[in-house]
Amino acid sequence: MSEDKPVALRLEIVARWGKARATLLHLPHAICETPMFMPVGTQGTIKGLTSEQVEDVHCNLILGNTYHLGHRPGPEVMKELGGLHQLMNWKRNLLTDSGGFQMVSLLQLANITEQGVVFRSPHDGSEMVLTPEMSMQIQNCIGADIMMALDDVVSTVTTGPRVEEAMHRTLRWIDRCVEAHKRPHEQNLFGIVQGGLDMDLRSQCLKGLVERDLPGYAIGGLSGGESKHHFWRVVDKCAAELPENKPRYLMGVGYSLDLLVCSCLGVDMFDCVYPSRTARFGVALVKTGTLILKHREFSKDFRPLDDECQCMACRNYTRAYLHSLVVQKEQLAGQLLTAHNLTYQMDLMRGIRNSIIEGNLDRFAQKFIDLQFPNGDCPSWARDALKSAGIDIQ
Amino acid sequence: MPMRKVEWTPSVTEGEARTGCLSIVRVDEQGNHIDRIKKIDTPCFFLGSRAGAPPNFTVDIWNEFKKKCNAVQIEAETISQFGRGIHDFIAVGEKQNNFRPRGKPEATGEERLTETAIYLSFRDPLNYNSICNVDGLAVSNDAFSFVVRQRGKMKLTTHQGVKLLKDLDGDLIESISMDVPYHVTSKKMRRSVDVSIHILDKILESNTGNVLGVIQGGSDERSRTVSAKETAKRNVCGFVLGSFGLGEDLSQQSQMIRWILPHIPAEKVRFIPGIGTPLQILEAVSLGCDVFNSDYPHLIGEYGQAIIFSTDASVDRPYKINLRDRKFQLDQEPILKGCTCYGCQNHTRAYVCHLLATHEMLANVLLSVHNCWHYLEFFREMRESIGRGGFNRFKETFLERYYSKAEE
Ligand SMILES: [Zn+2]
Ligand SMILES: [Zn+2]
Repeated sequence: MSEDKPVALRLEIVARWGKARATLLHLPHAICETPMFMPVGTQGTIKGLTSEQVEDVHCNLILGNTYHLGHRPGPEVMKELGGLHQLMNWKRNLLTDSGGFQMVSLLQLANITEQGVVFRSPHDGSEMVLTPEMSMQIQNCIGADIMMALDDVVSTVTTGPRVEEAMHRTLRWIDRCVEAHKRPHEQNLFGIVQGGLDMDLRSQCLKGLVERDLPGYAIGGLSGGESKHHFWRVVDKCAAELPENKPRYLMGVGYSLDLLVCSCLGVDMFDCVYPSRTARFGVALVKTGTLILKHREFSKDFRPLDDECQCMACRNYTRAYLHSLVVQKEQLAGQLLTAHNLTYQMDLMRGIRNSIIEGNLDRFAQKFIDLQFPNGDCPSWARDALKSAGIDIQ
Repeated sequence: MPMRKVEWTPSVTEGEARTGCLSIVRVDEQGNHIDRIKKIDTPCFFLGSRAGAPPNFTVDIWNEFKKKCNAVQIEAETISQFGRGIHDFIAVGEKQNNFRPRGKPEATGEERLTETAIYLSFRDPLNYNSICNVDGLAVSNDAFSFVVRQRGKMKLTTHQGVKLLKDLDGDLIESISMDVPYHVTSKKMRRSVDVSIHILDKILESNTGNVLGVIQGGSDERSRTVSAKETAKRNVCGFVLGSFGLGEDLSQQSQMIRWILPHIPAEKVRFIPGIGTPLQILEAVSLGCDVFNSDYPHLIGEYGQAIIFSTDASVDRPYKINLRDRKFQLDQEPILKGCTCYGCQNHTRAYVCHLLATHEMLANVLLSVHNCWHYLEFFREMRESIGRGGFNRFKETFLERYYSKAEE
């Protein structure tokens, strides 16, 4: 790390097991223990949970979405209110995305030019452009501890010259982002490795970003429908080539098997809407998979969701009660299941971390696989990936 | 096995208005007093629940409310499948001690008395447009509005209804009865009385000590009188004034209360569900009603509004504010300065305004919390005013400030 570059984080590696690592990530608002999962609070809130309840699941970092927050309340209001921490009374860390990905995925008409992401305003239909400079400006107003560079996202199922173009453009845009970023002493700008499923392009992009010596790096453009066999190999390669002393963030990944495998491959940070979104549909995550609470079998099941879970749902409510809330479409069901699912994710990550520190990650992984796949039907990609991480699943 | 018994002890009266203490005590089979397990000061407000918890209230939020309100009303059908009593099912009662807000010790001794009392009724406490419709000896399912919505039609016989109330094991039980809207034929009103008395007798065969009899009879003076007298003859622990909040205006409301109260004994508690605006409440309290329940504070929140009225004549504040209004988007004040609710202690008007604009669930949570808190604060102030003989002034000040210009 060069001495004169402003950064607002410090990474301390606590332990290693094979490719995996346990670290302490010092950020402006709290120290995070990695590997970690970061819940998504798109509009500055997570599914009806109070900030205190989010703290209670031992969460030190949540995401906000720049596209949504830039739209409402908008950068001017955000700035005047003193940023998102202040607005939502959240005392720990925040991370914001660039806004580009959401635009491309939410707005049919968005397309990408050298200038930026061109889109039609959802308000009046006028043509607008999200440039790297604008993304930085909005994210500086939001004031998150980690902000993401605007990248040229292509779907992982895209092939050919478009992938290469996107990779080069991502590198050109990172310089514009660094240039436009006004608060490098308080906010950490992460670059995003692109390059689709092409290992050479990934390598080129990664090298280009590392040359810029950014505070942290993300692996982008995955979990978009590519085969899992490709997915883990890209993660593995990027994690192997990224610098040891910087945090590695795998974007948009949050299924428990993916979390385990990719932690074993050396990833530090993950985010995903899955645990809170699935809670809204009445699904609870448990060690053996999922519980779909609307099913009648739960109407007379008076156990907690999980005997060992310490979340407010498990400590107070029966499955039968949660079933009745889900069936009656009560908002409370979403609140309680979100609290549980986030606790589940945090517990899983803590389990992975502790086993790295204690030197028994392989046993942890085996136990996890046994519970999730009791019939020995663990997918072959996961076996392959874990094997490459030095773990032989029986 | 100890049984629950409900007692009400009067404290101070001012005119007809009165304060008192509602106790849930346990007695043995011979009726000997074992201990007091819950106590509630009246006049008071029972938070309505959907499926066993006030809407949007997780257990930590609910625990905070116990300082102010320790009763919740529940419609009985939802939890009918459960075999072990309602307290266990919705995680209050014994289980509620498992979860304490951070840094708070286990409840002990006197503090345990503030644990939530559960009031069972067959009427949906948060939807008074649905009325308890009793047809012959069967309770038709029209009574359970959201059961109808979620599970389709189902009928419950009186026998099943009685058994259900027994199994649920609530602290207070409202007898099943037949509600009628203000404008129906007097034949129907008379019938509502007969049916309600009939079912009350059935319920009293298996429950004693904690059954409240419901007085029906709609807007017919004779029917109301008969219903009140007949119910008063029975072994009930208190009275529910039925069919209120169903189309009558304020003077009609008062008229119906006046027909009933002279015929029921003063030493038992009087519950009047269905009316909820402060105006209606003040009127009913001045006539001698003790316990209220309505969807009013939750409903206000659903419109994006926060009640902030003041009962102090020297404080000038509007009745409510509409937080959907963009003028609040930069407002860094709490919803109500000085309010001790969770929402006001932790968040700003700007945040609530943002949450409303983005249709986020947390907006409902924070508004429900604030509105219920403020509303319960209003009840506390009302009790205090009766206690010092100032209720009349209290009422007049409030009406002059907020109702003289037909505000609301
Ligand atoms: Zn749990
Ligand atoms: Zn408040």
